[in-house]
Amino acid sequence: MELLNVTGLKKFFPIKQGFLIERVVGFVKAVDDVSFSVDKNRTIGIVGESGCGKTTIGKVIVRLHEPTDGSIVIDDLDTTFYFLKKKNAEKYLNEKYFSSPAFSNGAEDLLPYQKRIYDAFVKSSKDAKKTIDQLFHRLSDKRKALRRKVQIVFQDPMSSLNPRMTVGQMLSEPLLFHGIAKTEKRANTMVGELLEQVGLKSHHIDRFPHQFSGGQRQRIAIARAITVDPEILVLDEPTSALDVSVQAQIVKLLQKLQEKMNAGYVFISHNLALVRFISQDVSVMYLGRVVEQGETQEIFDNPAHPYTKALLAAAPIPDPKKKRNRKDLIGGQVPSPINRPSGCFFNPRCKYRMDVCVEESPPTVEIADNHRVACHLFTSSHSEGGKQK
Amino acid sequence: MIFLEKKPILSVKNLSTYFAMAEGTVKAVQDVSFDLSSDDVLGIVGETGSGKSVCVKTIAGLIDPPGYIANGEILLYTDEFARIARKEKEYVDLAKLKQESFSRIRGKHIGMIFQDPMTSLNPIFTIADQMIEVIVHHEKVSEGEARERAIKLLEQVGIPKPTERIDDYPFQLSGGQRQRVVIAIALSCNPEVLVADEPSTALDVTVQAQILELMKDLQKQFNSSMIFITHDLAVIAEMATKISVMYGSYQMEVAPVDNIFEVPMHPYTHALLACIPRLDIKQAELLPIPGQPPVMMNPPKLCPFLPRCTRSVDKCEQVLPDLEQVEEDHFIRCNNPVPQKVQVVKEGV
Repeated sequence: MELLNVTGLKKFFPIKQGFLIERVVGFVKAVDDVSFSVDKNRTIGIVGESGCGKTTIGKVIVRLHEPTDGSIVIDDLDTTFYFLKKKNAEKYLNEKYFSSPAFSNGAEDLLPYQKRIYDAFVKSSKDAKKTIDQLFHRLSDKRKALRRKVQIVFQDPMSSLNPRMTVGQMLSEPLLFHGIAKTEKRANTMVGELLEQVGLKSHHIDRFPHQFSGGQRQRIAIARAITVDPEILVLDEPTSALDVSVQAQIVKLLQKLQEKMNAGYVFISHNLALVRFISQDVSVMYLGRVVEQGETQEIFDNPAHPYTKALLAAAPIPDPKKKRNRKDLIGGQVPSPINRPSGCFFNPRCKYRMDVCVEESPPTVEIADNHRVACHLFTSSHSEGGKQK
Repeated sequence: MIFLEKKPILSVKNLSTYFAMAEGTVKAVQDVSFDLSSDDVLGIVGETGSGKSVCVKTIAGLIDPPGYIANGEILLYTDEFARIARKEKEYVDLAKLKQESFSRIRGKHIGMIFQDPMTSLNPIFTIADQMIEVIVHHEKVSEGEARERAIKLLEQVGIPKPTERIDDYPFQLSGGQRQRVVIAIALSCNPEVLVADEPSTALDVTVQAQILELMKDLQKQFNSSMIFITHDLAVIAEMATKISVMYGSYQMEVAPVDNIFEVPMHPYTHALLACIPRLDIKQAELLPIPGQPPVMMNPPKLCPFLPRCTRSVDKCEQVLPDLEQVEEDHFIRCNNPVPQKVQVVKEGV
């Protein structure tokens, strides 16, 4: 079952200049037209170098940022407008639904989440204003419900845990807020159980974060994320601040919890080997765009995009007998997300660059079952180039 | 004819570095020994707090109070302090050297590359200032000559348009380029020993690959020996010729790189190799090492890996094993080593 569907997601951060009278002089295009979905009990890995927008995606999913464009459907509910001001929400709904041709056609082949809004639309006698009022009715409850469904674990547990709160306070707060535990006593028992679940002891409940080691702190951060039994867990580099021996413990814990909760994971990492190990699907990002996407096995066995190949060639292998593939290595560095290259963003570093790569940005094409790539080498008119390699 | 035995350039014997804190003594490095010959690349691998960084900082004379060298010798084969008339090379014990004399060693005979290039370069001086300073300090050259040499070095480390870029400030360079500049500075006096402390950790993978390739090429070109520190076993596999695995201030296993990855004998090395995710093979599962890394405040004089070890025997509870030789060039510190037949990494489906 599809838990999370992200379509055409964009997040631009305005760059403002000027004192008193600020004006927008440009945008940092952190995420530009990204789509993916996560199913129950599955993990999607998002990999890329720093500045490719992977963390921003995670933050947009849990709504620490609002998307600039695109939609986020969680559990067959369009949640994109949940945290917008009413005026902006109206604009979004009008564009996306009420003035769309699908709605005027009577809507035979709408997706379930679109159908819900269509039903509300019909119910209020096809009046957009009325429908919006209805959708906005008790929106705060809907927001609260959404927060229960999506949770996040950050990279550095020392900065994501409040140093002045005990573990007990930190973990019982969401339990009481969401009414999962009615009394504080009940909440405390539940916290004890949670701690045991993540491999800590229930007597750790009165300790402060500084009394734990790095790995234990990350366990607390994970416990805090699973207090509300989320359906989707965003893991933003959860192990990169940890030592390898502890990293394996955390990975194992996450896998155990997934089995138990049937949650969908969005695993954000720059570590290709880790992503290969933990995720079933993978998206490779470069400068805000997905360059290659598909099933993990397929991507790692038959990488198609030159950037994916370069990433795989660059990752060192813990075996002195296996030498890296120097042929696929690339020079240069990631360009600034403010002044991106024209056409395909990867073209200044790409070995297979053709004229078309500078002119137009490549469409995403499906080159095998569940394997999509955005590269001109694979578009129909240039497919000879792709074969040549 | 007398057979000339290859003398090690750097020989560290039973080195211990302690930090005297108000709460007690932190024994950061204990009983570390190794020899480094020219064109050797010694990789020191270990987790946070294993003492790997303190170890090389001690060698480079960068330990300030409350830290002190509690024991041991650091012998560098050099002619720096020989009488001018004779200019013969001899072993100098760096552990007993005064700070003033150390500045004749550091930079000239021991070059250092640190993890974060933004903090190891001074932000308010240009690249030229920082490079020329080192060269002029150590060698009898004019500033003009030093500048020429700096430009040549920048070219060697792959900085495009070095004649223009040399007058840039560090912030005008990207992370990878900054690290290239740091490498150029470290190599500027052609040191016998190059110490690299996690030089690629702060960089992205594609840039990391560039820097590693560069360091390998330059190490051959300059023919200096290198001590390479990292927590990443994959990086070490690529760079090092021999490896010292550190854990809780002690060396656990010292062996040539192939031995470490194919026939490791220490339970810690074994466990470490089984718990890293790998890109080249599909693993069925990761085998984590249970427990937490040790706290270095007043530890018992026992094997630091004991609380997490699956192969501990009664003897482990009583004595700390010595670093013993088990075969040629292969040393381990363990009472109950893993037999060499045991497969290191299990491949899955």
